Amino acid sequence: MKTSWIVLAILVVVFTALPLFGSNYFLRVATTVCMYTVMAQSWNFIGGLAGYPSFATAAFFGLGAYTSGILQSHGAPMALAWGSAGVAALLFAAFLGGAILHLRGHYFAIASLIIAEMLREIVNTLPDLTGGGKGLNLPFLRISVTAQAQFFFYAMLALAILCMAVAILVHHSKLGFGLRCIQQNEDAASMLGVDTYGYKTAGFCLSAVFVGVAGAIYASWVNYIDPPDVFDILLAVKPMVMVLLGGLGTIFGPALGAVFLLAFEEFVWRNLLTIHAAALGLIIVLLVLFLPNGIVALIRDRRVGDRSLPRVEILASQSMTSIVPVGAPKLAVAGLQAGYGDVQVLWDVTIEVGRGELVCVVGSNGAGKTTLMRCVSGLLPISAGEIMVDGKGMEQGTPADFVRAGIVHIPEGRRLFSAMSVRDNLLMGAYLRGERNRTPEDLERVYATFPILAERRRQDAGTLSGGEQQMCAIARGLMARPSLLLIDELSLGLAPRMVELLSERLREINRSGVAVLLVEQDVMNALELADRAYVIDRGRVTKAGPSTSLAGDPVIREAYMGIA
Amino acid sequence: MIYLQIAANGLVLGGLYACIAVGFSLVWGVLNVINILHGTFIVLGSYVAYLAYVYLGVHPFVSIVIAGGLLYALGHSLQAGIINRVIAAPVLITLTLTFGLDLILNNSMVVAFTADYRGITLAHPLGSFEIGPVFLPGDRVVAMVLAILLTLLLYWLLRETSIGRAIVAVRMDREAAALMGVDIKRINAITFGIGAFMAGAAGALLSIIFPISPLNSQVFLGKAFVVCVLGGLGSVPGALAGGLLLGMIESFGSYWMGPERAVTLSFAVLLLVLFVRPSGLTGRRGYE
Repeated sequence: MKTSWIVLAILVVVFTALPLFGSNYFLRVATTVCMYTVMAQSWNFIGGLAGYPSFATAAFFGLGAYTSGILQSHGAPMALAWGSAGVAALLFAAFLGGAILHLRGHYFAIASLIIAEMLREIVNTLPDLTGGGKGLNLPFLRISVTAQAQFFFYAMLALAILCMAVAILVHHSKLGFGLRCIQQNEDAASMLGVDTYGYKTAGFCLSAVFVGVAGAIYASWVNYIDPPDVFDILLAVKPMVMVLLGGLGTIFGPALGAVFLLAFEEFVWRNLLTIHAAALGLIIVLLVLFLPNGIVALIRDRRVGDRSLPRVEILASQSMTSIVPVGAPKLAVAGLQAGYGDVQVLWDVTIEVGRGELVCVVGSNGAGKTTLMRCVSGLLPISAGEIMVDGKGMEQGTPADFVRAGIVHIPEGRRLFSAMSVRDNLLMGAYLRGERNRTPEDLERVYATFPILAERRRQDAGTLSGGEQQMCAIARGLMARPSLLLIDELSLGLAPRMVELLSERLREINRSGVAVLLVEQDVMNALELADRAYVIDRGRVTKAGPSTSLAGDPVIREAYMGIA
Repeated sequence: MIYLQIAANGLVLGGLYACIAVGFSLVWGVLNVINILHGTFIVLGSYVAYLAYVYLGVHPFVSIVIAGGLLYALGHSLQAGIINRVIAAPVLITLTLTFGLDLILNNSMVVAFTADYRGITLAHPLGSFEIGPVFLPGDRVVAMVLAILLTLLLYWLLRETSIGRAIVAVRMDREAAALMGVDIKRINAITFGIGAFMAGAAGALLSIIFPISPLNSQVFLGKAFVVCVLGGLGSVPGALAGGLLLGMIESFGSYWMGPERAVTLSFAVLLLVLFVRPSGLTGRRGYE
């Protein structure tokens, strides 16, 4: 926090001294930098900290400009008019926040975008008060041109400094912390007792008040305002660009972004007036694609260095299987390492499934079973190891590649397309099948296996019972004519009778030549079903062997079946 | 019976609004991207129809296919080449990106065609006819019918074709769709292309009714917003209902409050709906 204040103090000294060196043109640019800083810094409160993509900046700016302009045209002194503009923007934000801050994501963006359009229309339809489309003239200051330039520069600078000081305070306060929590996970923040609504409203008001004053100062500075100028949608977009440029949610990022954006505007676009907007667009596109975390992050990343998951060398494959199936295995995984971000979940996992085998992987919650399934169906990129399907390396395979190679993953929780009919769900299973004319035949086949699905084929999948959904999920997998089915939790949440029935069907499917790799929490049932089994504990394979011998293993009996 | 006439005008307008919004709604629902480019796509479709009419004598109703096809190609390549790279990023990023792309495209249109308003004056208009007290201009009615037919065509595509089912599947559960072997990025590009097709086709239809200018893109985008919120996301029947509703609101609004307040009124309705129902009138559920 101390560093932030020191940086701010240096900025104050440097900028205050500027008029001593620069021309009026230079002062004009510096005034605009200050104005942009105010707008970017303000947007950062709601957009950067809380993660709410607000387009309301243009509305606050225009509202401030018109409040001050109307008051001054009725004879109010300038200072009072500027102050009132800030208050008006603040009150408007508080009121507006109550109406739109309960919206999330795109809905919030649209609502906030509409606000500026609406204000613009309202100003247009009230010509007696606002001058309507003809615009509004503001009183001139009766001082020299140079004095004017200096006056507006210092006014805007004071506002920018105030805004940045508030930003520093907020960043290190409970409010800043709360807003960041909201950005990370609003529901969780709310459950932990963060007053999300109050915090968001506070953030939204902070994003309005300084912008309102900036609009007022701008109006006095240019002497004339009209709706397209002060409600310009670009006034809402530029702050976002500046903050993205500088660094989202940082303290000095917005100011840095303001300087950069204005530098572009002044030195590059001045020569390209007709394609001014396109140049801004190009910067946005390049920024989003190549520098999504801004310049500040670029500097920070250099220092911290690469923090991705370390690639672990594959050690000589320590196969734990005691029985190797005859012929080339359908699926052979060796030395697999995988995880999410910095968290490694699987460590040197080696398993094999032969053609037509029924193999299960058992282990407690969080052991890494689902992660393993996600790796061998191409959903999760692996960090090291081998995945061989029919003797071919598939480490880089996409989910579609795995489906083509005959491996179909039936995910945990079924994941049916719930608002689609049962029949359409099944047809989705056959999505990659080349010979479309054979899908009716396949449909008949799975309907024969699960007759209840034939009865319900027109019903939405979401209306099925849990057991029927599991049948539908398995049937959907069978529609791809797989040679290996990966089933993540067959029995979870189902009644014992249903589990029995599904197990029976699974045996039949297996007898018809389809290999099965079954992941189960219900160890007893799984060992009963499978030919062979692997035990996974904390991301490592700890035991492997024929199910009958594992079922007799006293350690397993105690740990997973609760039998001493 | 002035009210019948107003309702008929609203109906004509509403059919066109449905066509304007349905592609936008599809992209939003499936890709979770607010496509700010949509308004510019519509205007570009109008220009294609205009140029085809002025230079080649192709009737704007025929240009639906040309404009739609060209915009499909544009939309598909934008998604495949650029937007797909950040498709998983937060809302702010994708929103800013389409905004940036829109600035580029819209500005290019201003450079190519200037901001002047242009219009198509048909050499052989269909004339108008009367049903009882209601007076209907023929070309507008045909445009509305075509707009609704196009919307229904999209409905059929999503329900009955393999690609359509894949699009709906991606909308419901991206990961489960991937497990079916669906190439998500390809579906993204096709969906965005279809959205652009609908925009281009709508633009061709609108070219005989509204003046054509790059400045209009924001107006059309605003309509698409309102229709989506009124009708619900990514749902074809929803877009149809929302479009007709907006058409009626604007038609009656301009009669009672003056045409200059019709836009404000529709925005006010949008904010009101969002205030009461944060995910639009019909929420997020629905088939397509």
